[in-house]
Amino acid sequence: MTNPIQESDITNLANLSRISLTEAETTKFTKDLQAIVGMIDVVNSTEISDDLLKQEGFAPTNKTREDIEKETNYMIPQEIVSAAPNHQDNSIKVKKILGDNE
Amino acid sequence: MIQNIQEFHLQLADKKITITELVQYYLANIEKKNKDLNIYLEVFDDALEIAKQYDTELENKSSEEITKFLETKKLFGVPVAVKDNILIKGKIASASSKYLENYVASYDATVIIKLREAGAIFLGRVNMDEFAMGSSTENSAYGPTKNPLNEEYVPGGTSGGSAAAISASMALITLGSDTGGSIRQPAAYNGVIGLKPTYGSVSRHGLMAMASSFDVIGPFAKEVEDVQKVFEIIKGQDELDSTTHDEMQPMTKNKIKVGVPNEFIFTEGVSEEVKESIKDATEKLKAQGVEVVDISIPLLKEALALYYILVPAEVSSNMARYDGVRYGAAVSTNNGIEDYLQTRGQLLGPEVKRRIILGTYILSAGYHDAYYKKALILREKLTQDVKEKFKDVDVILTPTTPDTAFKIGEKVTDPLTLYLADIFTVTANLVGMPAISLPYKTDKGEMGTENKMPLGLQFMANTDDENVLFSIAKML
Repeated sequence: MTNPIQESDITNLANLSRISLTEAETTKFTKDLQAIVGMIDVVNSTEISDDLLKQEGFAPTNKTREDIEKETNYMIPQEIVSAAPNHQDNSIKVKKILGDNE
Repeated sequence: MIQNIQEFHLQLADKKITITELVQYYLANIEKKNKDLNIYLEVFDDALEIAKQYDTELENKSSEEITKFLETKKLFGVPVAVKDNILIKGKIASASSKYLENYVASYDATVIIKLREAGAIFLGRVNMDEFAMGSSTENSAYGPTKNPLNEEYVPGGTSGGSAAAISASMALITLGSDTGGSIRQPAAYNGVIGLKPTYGSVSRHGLMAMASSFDVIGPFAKEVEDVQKVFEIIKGQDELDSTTHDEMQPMTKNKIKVGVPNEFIFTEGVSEEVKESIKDATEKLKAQGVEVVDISIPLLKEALALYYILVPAEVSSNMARYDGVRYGAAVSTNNGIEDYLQTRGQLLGPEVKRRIILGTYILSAGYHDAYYKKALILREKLTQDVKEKFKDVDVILTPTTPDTAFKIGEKVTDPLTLYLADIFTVTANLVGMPAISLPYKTDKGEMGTENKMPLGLQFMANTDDENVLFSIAKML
């Protein structure tokens, strides 16, 4: 079994996942993830032969369409832009990420 | 009232019923029962209008002409309800999330285009667990759906609204999606039929992605012929989903051989009633001359762990798109990074957040190799092991769930207990093979009473062999 998950791990993971958590949520998720990781840990301790380990593992196969230009009005930009919570003049509006002097 | 598409179309051709009357029948049921059951999130206001328009198209046709016409429009006038994570252009698709409360779909899902071309009428969108994460439809931001057979119980999930709408006669056909049992488990809990098709047989274009290498859209109905009919319409390669394919096994088998992984079923966590249903179904099949053999697939015991490694990993990636910038709602603060944190923190529900955080953990350095990479290898090994079994047997029989539906609120605080109940359904998604849940018919008591909630029997078949599932379903 790997090291048990601590509240500080949950805070860090939530931050990486761009999710703000309340204190109560942090406590609850710590307990939940400890239990869930306990269940999935069976995979960590499963012995896999060297031959298997060399394999890539599961990957779905893809059939891609031909790369040719097509005339289409499918998904016109205005419709996509209008779905954004903040938009203006056919553009998605986001907050400034650099200061005035940068 | 009408039980299946064939009956409806025969009466339509004989002019004994109109499309408007059928739509009105379902709308009246919704009006009467939806307040209590919370199945529909929205009833589309154009359904009745379309029904009237379709009736006009048939007005001057003779019965023979109508019959001929219905051979080409196989779902003409059929009222369909759609899970809230499948896009219909111009309609809200919220995935039962606060985040997408007012999101209006900008295009049609491929399955919607196909159903509309076949003549289906969309009645509305139905409740689900938020972003298809859960097992009870209690994770909806719009309140839980109740099981129509007994309102104290959950309808299952995540396609709980889709299954309950069939059971409560609020639609003739519904669509759901299945990532680890989300069609089959609610079908079992509601005593209806639900099909999880082969991965890639039905286009995912326009289905909100949860775990992209697992997700598939499938139908619910009261009768297997309807499930088959809808599947045959929605399946097929789609250039907008590169994982789709056209292959399908022909209906050739005269004799079906059933494998039962007894060592996996007759264990501690499975209720006596469920074990009894398998014994009984086995006997019924044998009585019809079907060969039933005991099989062993040791890796089945690890399927649940593989599932809860790989799915949260894919969830954490897929859910990154809900960032408050491109669509849906947003919480505005005084800086950009805080916008992300608050938008996702405040507008996503607990189960969604739990899975994103779990997936982030699984994919983080140090754990990626121990969990994710190993799980991918074991997923491939499991797929090969199951394929190998299908050289000997045609279908694998298990229960759909280890127990019947539970009471609303009973398991809501304990996610692991809920996850454990997916034990029989996740394998079909891990290996990409089709599986169907059929209501187990008992003569020992009425379904939907205190101690007799329905049970489901699950049959799984080899890749693209839905036909053998339909064959065996018709035998039971």
